[in-house]
Amino acid sequence: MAHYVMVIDLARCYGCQTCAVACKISNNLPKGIWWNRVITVGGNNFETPSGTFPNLKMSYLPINCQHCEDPACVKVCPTGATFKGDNGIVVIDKDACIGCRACMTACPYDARSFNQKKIEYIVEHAVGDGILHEHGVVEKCTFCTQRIAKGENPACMELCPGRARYWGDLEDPSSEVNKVMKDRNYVRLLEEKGTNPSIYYLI
Amino acid sequence: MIKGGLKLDRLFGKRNEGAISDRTINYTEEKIYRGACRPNCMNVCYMNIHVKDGKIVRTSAADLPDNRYKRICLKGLTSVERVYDPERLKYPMKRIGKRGSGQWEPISWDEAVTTITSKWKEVQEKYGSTSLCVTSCAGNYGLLNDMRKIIYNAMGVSYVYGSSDQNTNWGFKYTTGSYAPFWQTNEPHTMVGNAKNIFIWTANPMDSLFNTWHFIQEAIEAGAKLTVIDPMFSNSAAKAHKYIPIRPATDTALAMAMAKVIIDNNWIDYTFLKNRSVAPFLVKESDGTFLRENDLAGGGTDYIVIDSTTGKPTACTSVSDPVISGSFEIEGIAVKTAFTMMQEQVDKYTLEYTEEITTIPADTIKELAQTYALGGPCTIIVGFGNDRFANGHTFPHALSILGALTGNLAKPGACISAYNAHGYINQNIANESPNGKRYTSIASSKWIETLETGEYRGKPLNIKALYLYGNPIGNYPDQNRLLKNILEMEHIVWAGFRMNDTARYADIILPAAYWFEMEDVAYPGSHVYLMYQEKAIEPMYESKPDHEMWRLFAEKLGYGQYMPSDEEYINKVLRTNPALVKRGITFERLKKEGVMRMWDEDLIYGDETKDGFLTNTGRVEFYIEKPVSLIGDPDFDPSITHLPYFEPPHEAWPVSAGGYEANELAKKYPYYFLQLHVKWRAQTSWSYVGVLNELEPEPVLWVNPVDAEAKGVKDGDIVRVFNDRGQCVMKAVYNNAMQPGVTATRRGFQRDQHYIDSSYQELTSTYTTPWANNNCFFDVLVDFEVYKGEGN
Repeated sequence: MAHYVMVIDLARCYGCQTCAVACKISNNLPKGIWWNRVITVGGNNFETPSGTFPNLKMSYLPINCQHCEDPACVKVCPTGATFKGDNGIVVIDKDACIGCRACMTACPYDARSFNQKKIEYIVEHAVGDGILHEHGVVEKCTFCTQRIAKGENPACMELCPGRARYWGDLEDPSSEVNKVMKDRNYVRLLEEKGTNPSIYYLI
Repeated sequence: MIKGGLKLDRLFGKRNEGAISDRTINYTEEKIYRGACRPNCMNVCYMNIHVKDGKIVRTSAADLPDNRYKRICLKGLTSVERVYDPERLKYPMKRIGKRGSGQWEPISWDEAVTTITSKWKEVQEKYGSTSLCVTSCAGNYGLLNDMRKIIYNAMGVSYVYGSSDQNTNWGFKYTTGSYAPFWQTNEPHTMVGNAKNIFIWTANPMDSLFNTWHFIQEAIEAGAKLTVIDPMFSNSAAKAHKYIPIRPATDTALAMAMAKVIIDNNWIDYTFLKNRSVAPFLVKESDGTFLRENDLAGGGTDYIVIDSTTGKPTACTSVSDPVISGSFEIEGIAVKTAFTMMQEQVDKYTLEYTEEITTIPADTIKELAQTYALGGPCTIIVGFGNDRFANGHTFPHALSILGALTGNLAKPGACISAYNAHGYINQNIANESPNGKRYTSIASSKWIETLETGEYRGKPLNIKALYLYGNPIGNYPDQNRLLKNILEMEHIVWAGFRMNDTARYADIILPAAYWFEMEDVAYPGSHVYLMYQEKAIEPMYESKPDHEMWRLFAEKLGYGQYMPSDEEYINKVLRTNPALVKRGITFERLKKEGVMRMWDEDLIYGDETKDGFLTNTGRVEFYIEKPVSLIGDPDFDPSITHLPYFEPPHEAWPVSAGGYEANELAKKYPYYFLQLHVKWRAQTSWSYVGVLNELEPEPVLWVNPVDAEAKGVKDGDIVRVFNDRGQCVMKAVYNNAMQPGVTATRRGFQRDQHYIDSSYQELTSTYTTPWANNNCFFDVLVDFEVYKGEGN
């Protein structure tokens, strides 16, 4: 059985936000909701470096749901609405979600979003893959289930301008993700929390 | 296997992931069209435009024959939000109430066209043909847009052209030459595996050459070292091996000092210098031009050099080893080699002197010179950082010396360039009017002066009516003064997608069709393909393509028959560009193939087996024989621009250094104020896109914490940035990337997006220089303080 993972090359990522916007549009995300965020690793303010002039450092970190092998969110969901599905994807069944948001508190990656009030879309018709959203339920990155069902890659994988993103099945030795991790060092986020995430960051 | 919590058993049996995708719109039909996103970011991405049930639902990067060029960006992905913008203009409107009051009434196209054309007739009869003025603004790089110029010509209007980036244009055009403005680039992939050192100098490609950045990254992975020279720690600097801070607009001094170090240490590629530059040419003391055969008895037109094997003056094409140093007298004519003249010029730029001017330590200057001379092949990527100051024309000129000395030109991995392949297509012939008339061009940097004096370059030019599109008020300098003059016009027409800084002040506004709502041909920005734009959807509401509006005007004005069909026009444009004809590019082929390559594969600019350097001599002309003003400005003094030189900017020189006294104005306005090109917007396009505004919500003043604290400004305070020309009120953001003394804003937000209606463009000036009549946006000084106005 497949185990989908993402591999992101942090040396190549230049924080262009294209993957974040690709996700937003493809998933027809409502105003204010982001499932993929690219955060600045640097100063206190967006797109500013740490340090003092001229000895400065800045890099970027794209974060979405880490589709953990041992998800903190699943453990706390009272209705079982969120669960680890086939292919390693952590799924939310909106019908079963009661919007208690325990999962949002449990998730150490702050990867989930909650539609508080009536959904406001960015334009009048559904864009991207035409996903509709509801308020009162929790949502998050689905690894673009709607796209992989058609044999396509997730939206954020379509064309990273930095060519920094890879997608594939960790169980398949010939997959791109295994190839690219072979000769590189990589880290995962908050490994000490024991979540066993499926997003690998090449450094 | 489903790993779940232990909670309630689900009552509905096994959940599968399929259930999650239940809630989607089931569009019945999907069609994919191809076209180009083409604003002034100049990357120009070939895109798939996905249409479902007649509505565009998304855009994505389309395949190209060479997918190293495949591209898209955060802006292009939000195209849906631009096309279906709830503020998208639906119909022509005329203002009711005062200009700028925001009160409009819809009118029919017929009423709009009739009103507009009768007004134009009236104004031209009364005040002359140039009293109708059309301005150009970047924002739609497609061929059909320019068809309007046929009517501009027919009517003999005055036409304001954008004179930005022209310092850089001047600096390259007359030294290393170029195919077209800024296109003196090697194909970007040739950097990879070939460039040993890459210098990013006055540029921030991560934001502005967005889709070329990955080539730079790949070159680094293949072993290239990256050095970034910049007054601030730009995004690009974050990926550099070395970041070199520099005093703003002193880049020419640094380049000259590096040249001196290279010469003093004899780190010279003599083969390149002697054969591919004007180094051995003999400059006549009498008039500064090169000695030619026809200066001497015997005649001929070839340049004369001194043959080192014979010591005799000889036609250069028969000399393989010319002398490059010295003064001579030949048949009574006193001459000096161009190399010696250059050496004398760069000699002034000692390490000590240059350290004082640039603030770069002497050792670092020496190291940079050594790396550039001995660490090649080297690529220098130039941007418009220095261009935006009045002294910017000398920078590419100074770089041509470095290239000539070291041979870091015309090789894979070696070039000096703005690295933007502007796929320039000449439409002048296709735009000719059958009645033989021509429009009169006005440099945008001289527009306000023309409006104020009723004169352009000494001749009467009385502008009374305007046709505007894009956002000149947002993007031309000295906004308050410009607006004041525009408001005195008898009539103002504007065309575009949605309300903006300029549209607000018009008398009649016209809804323009979006790029995907028409067939067109787009030319490449930073790639190599000419692209066919398929019409994906019909123009929204009552919008029309810009050139269609001009068909209607032309009909009413009696020039209807001057406007060809779209197909005829495009064919004529392609036919009258020899480079395109050579490649067999026709509209028919382009429609079939989608894209066609405009340039040779693996293009190396300056390759002597191909086109070589596109200069008068065919060589790198670090000594310019006959310097000219790009627009024939009479104040131009050629004698000082044969060779590059450093002088401070016009206004932005707040600290005394190198014998140049600080501008007195700095006592009132001590800070530099850069207006950065950032990935979020292309000038003021995309300013109102909601998705992008969610990530970057408002204009900011980036300021070093030390500077801010000295003014009592806390991180996040609203500040007023001001000088004698105006103000801009926005949020101050602490940013250690800013060199103390240097502030910046991330440009592209419009007046109503600031804390109070205001703009960075209020702070800029129309000061310009005779070389290039350039808009020098960064050549300003400002002060800032906590904003004490309403609401704060």
